[in-house]
Amino acid sequence: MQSSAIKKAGTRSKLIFQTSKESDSAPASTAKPSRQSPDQSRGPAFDHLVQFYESDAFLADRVGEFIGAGFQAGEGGIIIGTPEHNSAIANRLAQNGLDLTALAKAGQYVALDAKDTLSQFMVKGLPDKKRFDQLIGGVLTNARNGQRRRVRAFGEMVALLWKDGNGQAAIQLEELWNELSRNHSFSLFCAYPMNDFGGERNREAFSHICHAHSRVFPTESYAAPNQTEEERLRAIAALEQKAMSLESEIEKRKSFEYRDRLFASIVQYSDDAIASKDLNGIITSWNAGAERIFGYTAAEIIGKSVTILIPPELQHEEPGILARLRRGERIDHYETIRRRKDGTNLEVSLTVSPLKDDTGKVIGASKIARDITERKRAEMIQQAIYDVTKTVNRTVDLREIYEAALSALCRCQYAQRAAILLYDNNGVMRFTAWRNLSDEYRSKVEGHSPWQRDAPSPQPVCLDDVSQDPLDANLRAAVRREGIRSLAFLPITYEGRLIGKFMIYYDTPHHFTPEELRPAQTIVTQVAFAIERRRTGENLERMVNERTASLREAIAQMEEFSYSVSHDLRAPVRAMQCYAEVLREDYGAKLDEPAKKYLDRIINGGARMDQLIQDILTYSRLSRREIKLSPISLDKITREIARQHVETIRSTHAEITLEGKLLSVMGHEASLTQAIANLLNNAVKFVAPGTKPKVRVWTERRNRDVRLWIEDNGIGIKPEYQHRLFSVFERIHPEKNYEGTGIGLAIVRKAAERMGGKAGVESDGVTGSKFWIQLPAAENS
Amino acid sequence: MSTTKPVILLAEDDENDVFFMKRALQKASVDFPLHVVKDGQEALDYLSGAGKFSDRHQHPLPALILLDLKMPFLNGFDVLAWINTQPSLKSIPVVVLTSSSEERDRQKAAQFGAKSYFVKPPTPDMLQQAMGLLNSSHENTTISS
Repeated sequence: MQSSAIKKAGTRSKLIFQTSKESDSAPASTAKPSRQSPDQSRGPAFDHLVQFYESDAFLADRVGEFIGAGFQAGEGGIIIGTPEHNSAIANRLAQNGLDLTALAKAGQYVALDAKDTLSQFMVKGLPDKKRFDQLIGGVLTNARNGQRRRVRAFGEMVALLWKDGNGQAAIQLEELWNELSRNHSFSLFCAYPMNDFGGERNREAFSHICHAHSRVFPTESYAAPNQTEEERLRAIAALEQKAMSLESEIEKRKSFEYRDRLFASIVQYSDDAIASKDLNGIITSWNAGAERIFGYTAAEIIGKSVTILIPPELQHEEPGILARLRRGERIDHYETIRRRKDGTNLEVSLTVSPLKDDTGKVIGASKIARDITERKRAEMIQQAIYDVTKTVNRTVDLREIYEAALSALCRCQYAQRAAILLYDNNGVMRFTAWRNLSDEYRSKVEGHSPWQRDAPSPQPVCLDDVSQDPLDANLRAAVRREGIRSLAFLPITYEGRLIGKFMIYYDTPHHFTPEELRPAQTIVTQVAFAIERRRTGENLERMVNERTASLREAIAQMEEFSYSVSHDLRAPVRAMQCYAEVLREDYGAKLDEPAKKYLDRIINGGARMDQLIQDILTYSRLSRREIKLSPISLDKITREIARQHVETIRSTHAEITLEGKLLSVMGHEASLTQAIANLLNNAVKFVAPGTKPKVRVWTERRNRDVRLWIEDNGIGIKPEYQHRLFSVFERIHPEKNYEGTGIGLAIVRKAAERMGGKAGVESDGVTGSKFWIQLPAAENS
Repeated sequence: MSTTKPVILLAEDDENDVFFMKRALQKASVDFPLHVVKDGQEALDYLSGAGKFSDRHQHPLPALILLDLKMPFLNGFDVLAWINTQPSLKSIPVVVLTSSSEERDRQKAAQFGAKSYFVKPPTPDMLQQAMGLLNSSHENTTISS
């Protein structure tokens, strides 16, 4: 292969030689670089050229040309290359008719092994200037043969250093060559295989190397001797385009790489589990989140089926998921249960999206699993606490509240057993409500409490493992027999007072934490509130009952008193009155006028006294009477009262007018009759002397009430007195003018109030008064 | 006629009220003999002809009973209740005459079978009405209060 390459290149090498001979010296930067040739020296100045190459044959041609031209001009030639290159170059020279043996004999031709030569001046991986100068300087001097000849040299020691990755040494060595040119007249041909400069990292070193040379020649692709100018320009244009597309390709790759790294990093450090699987459900990737959430390492699980993550009872889910994926559907935020490596379950929200290849075919799925155990637990706790609160607000039935609290507690704590114990009247904590505790256990442990009853602020007591924690021997035995392994005592307190406890039990050791017990504490607080509310309610009820009883007794005594008053107090008054009348009737003839007048006064005084007693009785009866409201026709009772009134007080000739049909109200007939009678009585009574009483009665609807108006043409009441009018024993008008006990209107107001209504007056104090009673309207009025 | 003249029994502990009653009867021109007992127990004794009332000629069964409510020993209601248990006495009309204008007393008296209820002092009008009861009861007519 080597030989054929040399042979092929050999044909071309002549062309180069010929073309280059025709050309004059031209700088490498001109538009015709291919016309240049290594043999175009610039006179005595040091010519340090570099040839990049692709094939060894091309190199051999070019060196042969360069050295051969020197020999033909009588110059010396030195070759320091690899053995293969040295021999190929020698072949080329021989083919051009040069007798190397003779030239070597004359000292004009020297061939050295590059590797061997290098070893003679390299010290610690770098070229040593002194040794280099001595060695290479000596070789140059010999080849120049007493200063008469110039020397041409080919060296590829730099290329070897470069190939070994020692670019620093190569560049230093190039410099040493340059420095050597100050004392020696020679041209130097360096050669580097272009392949060694692949890669962006070599860009800077390549530029250094080019800089170290006075002339630079591209590889045969752009400087082939058989290329026309046209071809070369096209090749350069193509090269530029290639370089351009390579640049952009590199940029694209860089951005892809960055994106890939970014995605990889996002996936790797995501809190969520991110994995992928193929259409058979075999896991193909597994991130750190997945390791953390499920407990499997990537190495353990990749290549296994996702079904190992699914609890047995949910295995049916996977075929459905795979089927949907095959159809290209996405499964979004699907909440389900998955199983960890340690066998415990967790609640996850799954998002599964189909993965497609370049052709759009579904080849698997990416799977994101978010651990929603905490969220679900938080939701559940919230719901449990809400349920308890709702129950406490809805009912005062403690049994119901205890059940709701136990149920919520078991849900929050994932516990099967729980209990509520409360102090009984003897100060012993008794089981009040419980879940899954045997009768035997309850009887054995009842009464036990970790706190004194008067403990100032009792704190929860948690036994994470009864076999480890200190426990009373009897208690421990009972707890063991019941199969309880861990338990917590939560004090139920109200305003710092211990009233009982909540118990939580587990069959396995359980590490209780304050955070975990927080929801339970909230439930305990709710229950404490409900218990205390109930107690307060009971106390209140008892107090109300006691007061009611004593009030009833007071009323009974009051009634007894009234009854006695009505009999015993009125009897002597009646006696006085009646005897005075007897006296007047039987002995009137014997009495003079003043005596008769005094008798009249006795009789009137007695009558007033009797009326007063009766009014007081009426008033007190109204206050204590049980009032049952029923629809009352104001029309009916007012007409009856008016009729009786006209009959009893004929002398006044009062005119009482009822306007229209009076409406009906809700009232108590006896009380209402009393009130209306009093008002009518007042209406006809308080008139100026000589005035005929005229009374107008009507009703008026006022929203849901009815107001009965009684308007008179009497003397009126000045506004400043009106507020006193309805009080007991208040009299506005002087006694001597108008009779009255001063209780009548107090009775009216009291009656109205007892019936859920009110009474009042409107008057300007001149033109009569308008009294009213307002009561709720009867349904049908 | 005079031998068969009906007797009125007045149960009243207050001497003043006895005086006013006699005077009112006189004013109302009721000249039926009035027998007075001082308390509820005496009323029972009289009606049952016990003790000093055993002589029915001297103490004949009354045609009308005027009954005070508030009396020592047995009160008016006790007397009414007892009368209700005596078939031979049930037909005698009882008129309650009291100082109490209490509605509950009025109702209770009616429940116990009193034919009429008057608040003291007695007036000739009242007694006329009471005598009306007497006449109609003789004619076996029921009169409601």
